[in-house]
Amino acid sequence: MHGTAKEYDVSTRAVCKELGIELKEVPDWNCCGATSAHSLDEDLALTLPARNLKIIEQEGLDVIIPCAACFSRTKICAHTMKNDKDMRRMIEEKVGVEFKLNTNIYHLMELLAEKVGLCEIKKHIKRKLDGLNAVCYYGCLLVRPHGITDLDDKENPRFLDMLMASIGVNAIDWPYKTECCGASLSLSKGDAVTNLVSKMISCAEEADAEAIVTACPLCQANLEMRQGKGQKMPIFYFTELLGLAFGLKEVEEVLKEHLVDTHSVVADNVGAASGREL
Amino acid sequence: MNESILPQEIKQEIKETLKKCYACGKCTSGCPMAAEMDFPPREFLKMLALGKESDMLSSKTIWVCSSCQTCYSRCPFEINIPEIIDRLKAYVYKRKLSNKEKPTQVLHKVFLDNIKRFGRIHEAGFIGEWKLFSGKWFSDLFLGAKMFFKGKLAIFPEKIKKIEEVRKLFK
Repeated sequence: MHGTAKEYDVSTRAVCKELGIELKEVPDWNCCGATSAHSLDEDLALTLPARNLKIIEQEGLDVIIPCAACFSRTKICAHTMKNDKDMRRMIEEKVGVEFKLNTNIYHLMELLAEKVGLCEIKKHIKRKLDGLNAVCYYGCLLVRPHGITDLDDKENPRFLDMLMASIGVNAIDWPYKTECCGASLSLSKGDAVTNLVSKMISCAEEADAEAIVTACPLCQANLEMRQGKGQKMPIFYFTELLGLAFGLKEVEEVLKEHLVDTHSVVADNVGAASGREL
Repeated sequence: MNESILPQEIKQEIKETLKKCYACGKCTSGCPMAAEMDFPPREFLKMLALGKESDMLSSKTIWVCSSCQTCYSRCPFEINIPEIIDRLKAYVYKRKLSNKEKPTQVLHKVFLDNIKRFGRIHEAGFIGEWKLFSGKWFSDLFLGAKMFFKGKLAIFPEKIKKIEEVRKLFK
């Protein structure tokens, strides 16, 4: 969020501020290790997110995680400690703290759709994004491993679609909601990832979507960077579209940072919509 | 002991788990990377069940898997295939048993080295170092430049304050 995903950072902060959610960045957080940690070292895959959980417990707050992989890894860490005494002992020894495990771990989308609620979100709309046809992309790790992340249906989640529909977006149903974007292989196996992504983009085009909505920095980056030849599908973070509907200036500004131009879609739909402000 | 053969207890555990598999193939049909694998998930499991684990330790499959967990979530017996793959990867990596899919192996190593050094990922440094060691010097140069000019690749790394806490986890 401090680097390649700055659009997500800016729009998340702006949207939460608008909704009255006070955010505090986890002080001195470390990387959760993502795929690389669980690939090479099972213990690290648990102790890295555990150090963050330690800090969060010390702060005495709940945690909102915007990245699907960090969310999944942190949930797995907490779940393992709750259910496996030996592992818990190992983690507590290494991290140097006894965990209370009373922190609620939310994905940002879950928090907005479930805790804040669609009615509250609707109250903040300055202009509805009525003209925008989009498909919602959840990717792998929001819904998997399903017993642990515990979010919505594992094959056909609806959270994000409902959230988008609440601000007027025509959220179209499509079959690639939880397909894999290629994740970290984007760097080392770029061609294979381009194959996956270009299929997804073609499917979105067939569904008459003008844009894809995502809820993860790596999904967004892969879907944007690994499109096939001639494909130019804008890929939004869901928070950007919320920010546009709320009329937040900083979100409009940050849309320029996308690698695939978002201007035409925004001008066609949101621009026109601003004429019929609520 | 022959290092290319898994320790008996891991082998036994995997074999027990795989007794449940009736080879329905849902894992392979849902796998986004199956086309890139030398042994797609169903074949991979069958080979393990037949005791051919040393072939699987040196397979491309374990490195090509994107850990998306589609196979696991669709398996009628909830066989945790990604976890089996992770165990094999960690085993192979620690003993340097395989040269397959080197760029992906290097990627994981450089990623963890970055965390050990800074506590976070310094994207530009991470990509640069990965390029240097993976031999993929010229891939995505144009894309990288574009991201740099969009201000998405920071020049300087962010280092966390209590880095020794993170380094301790690596011991």
